[in-house]
Amino acid sequence: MTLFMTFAINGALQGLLYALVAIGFSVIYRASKVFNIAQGELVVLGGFLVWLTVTEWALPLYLALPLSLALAVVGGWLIEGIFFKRLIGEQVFAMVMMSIALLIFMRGFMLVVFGPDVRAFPAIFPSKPIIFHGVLIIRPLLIGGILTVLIAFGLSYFFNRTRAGLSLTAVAEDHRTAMDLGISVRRASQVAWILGMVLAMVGAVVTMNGNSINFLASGIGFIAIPVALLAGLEAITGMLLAGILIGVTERLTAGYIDPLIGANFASVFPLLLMLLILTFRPSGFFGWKTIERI
Amino acid sequence: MRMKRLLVAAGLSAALMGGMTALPALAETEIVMPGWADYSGPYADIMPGWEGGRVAVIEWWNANKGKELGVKLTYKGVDGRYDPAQVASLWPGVLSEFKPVLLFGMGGADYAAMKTRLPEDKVPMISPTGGYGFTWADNPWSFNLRPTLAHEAAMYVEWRRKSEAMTRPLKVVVVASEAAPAWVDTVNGIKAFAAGNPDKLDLVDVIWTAPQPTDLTTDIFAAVSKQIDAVIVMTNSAGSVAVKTALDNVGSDVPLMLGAHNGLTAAGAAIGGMETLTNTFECAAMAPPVSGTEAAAFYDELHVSYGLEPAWDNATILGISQGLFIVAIMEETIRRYGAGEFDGEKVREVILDYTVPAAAMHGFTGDMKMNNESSFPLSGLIGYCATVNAGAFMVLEGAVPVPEIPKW
Repeated sequence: MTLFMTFAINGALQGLLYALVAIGFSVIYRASKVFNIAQGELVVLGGFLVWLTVTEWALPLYLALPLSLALAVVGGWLIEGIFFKRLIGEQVFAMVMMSIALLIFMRGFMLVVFGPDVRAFPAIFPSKPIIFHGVLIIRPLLIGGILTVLIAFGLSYFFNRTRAGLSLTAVAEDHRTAMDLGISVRRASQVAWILGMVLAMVGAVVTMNGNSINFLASGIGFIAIPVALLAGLEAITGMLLAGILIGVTERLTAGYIDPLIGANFASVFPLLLMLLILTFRPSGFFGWKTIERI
Repeated sequence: MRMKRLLVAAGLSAALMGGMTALPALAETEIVMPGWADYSGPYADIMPGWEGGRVAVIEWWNANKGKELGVKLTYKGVDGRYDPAQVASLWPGVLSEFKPVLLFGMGGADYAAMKTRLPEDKVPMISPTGGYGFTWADNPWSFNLRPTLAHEAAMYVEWRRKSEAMTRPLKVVVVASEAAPAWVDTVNGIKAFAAGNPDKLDLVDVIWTAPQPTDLTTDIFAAVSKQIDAVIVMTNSAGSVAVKTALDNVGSDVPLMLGAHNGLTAAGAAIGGMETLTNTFECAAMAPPVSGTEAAAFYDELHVSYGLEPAWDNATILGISQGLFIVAIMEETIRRYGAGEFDGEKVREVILDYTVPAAAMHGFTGDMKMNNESSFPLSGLIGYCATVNAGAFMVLEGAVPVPEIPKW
């Protein structure tokens, strides 16, 4: 029973980490209508910024983390300015193609700037797990899970209850209409990419804490896609539930089904679950249903 | 008239000078040797040393043997990303542009992409990495200098049982990934060894993970609760770091065994220092990266005289040993048939027929003899087991024999 609880609790926490990355998808989508396929690459870039300030420049954490955050803000602003500024008001297809281009560019950029070496990632949070009545809880994931819940509710409040957030949502609805209403689409797009980049950096700190980083770490972006689609791209707090569902099923499958069949079914099972649910609810659990007036 | 004579004289002089400068070039036959590389995939971190070793050996051979034979070997690296799809898509271009007679390979991804193309296109390939269960078949065109990674894992099992005078089987958990066919094959090989030697190895579990695992603490916590004796990881450096970190997180001193390609030096660099790798081991059927050996002296020669910059580590050893075997095969083929008078089929005949003497391998291997029943030598192989002592790489004892494993 303790092993089951260990798998279930850490699966839920791992799922919240996926949710944190998935919220990055959601924030960018809600404020700019771009499904950012390169979110995993943003996680790696965020991770390298932290590695740069903490390990390479050997700055104390109280300086390194705010500096990383500032660099992430600049990074998000630059990505929007270079890649997406000119696409405002253009077809969604053009934005999707640009996000694919961004993915390819970022991989090359990371290789050129940071090299292919696997590097030690600093332990920002204490690594030692908590053991409670025989149940092991991974401490960085627990801290990351709490952060994710706070971020999700904070962003949900921002997007649904504040004037600035609602104007971002209006942008995602339709660029031209938003511009007609006097909303600055450009500013909304900048805010979206800056938020997406900052979230990616927080995700990197939780994922890689005390482990390693290289350009291949972007795989977490693809693991988070089922979470985003399952919850519905617009549903920020819905990501928490979808993340927990994916994380727990993945962890329990790895713990109990993989040893029986001798293969990595755990990596496929969340995707099967997502396909099954999307068959019946194409917009996800909490996604918006678009009603079009003819 | 005088002007005409002057023009003729100038023309003749120019022709003579041009001919003189062209003479050495005419005497030299160039053979292009393409090689698969990976600067943007899972082995990108160790590729500079690996390819650096290949290039330096080619330079050394051209300067020392090529001149005598009138042959210049030219290496051309091609980034296949250790991805079968990428390798398959690039191969037709490599074939038509370079017309290779022998190919530098990396491992399983190249083999998976080219196993039917190599015999069709009559081009043999040589990799310095371990062989695979799926290459253990008759009439190979792809050859490996080492036995399978499962053989090298079995070396650790034998060494550990012997060193601790163990009478029961060693209980191990293997951490692997389905991202590369070679890693799945390693698991199958270890299973075959366990099935054939139940008195020596008890494979308790296999933990499947991603090439860049997020956190393996839960998996390792479950594994160590099964009273295991060791964890075996033969994927990549990120996998080695994730498992070592997880073992430290749960406060376990269960030994960790790594492969040479994701071994002590590579994992040490990735985890922030070799001193962190306490109770961690590496076994491989190749030369160890230690000083004071014949192989280390040859590395020094390449470093000083042939521009080999990367450090003396496993990746560089892979490149040098691969290069030495390939130039030895090319040299023998040239001696038998003459420069430019042979194709890939003739080179393959030499690979199967010729025993590359230990002297030509400069301490990187013993005598090397390939066979027509598998992609790798089936007998007479030896290797080493090593660990970290006071933050430094340390070979544990003399040569460790490679155990036999039933074919899987």
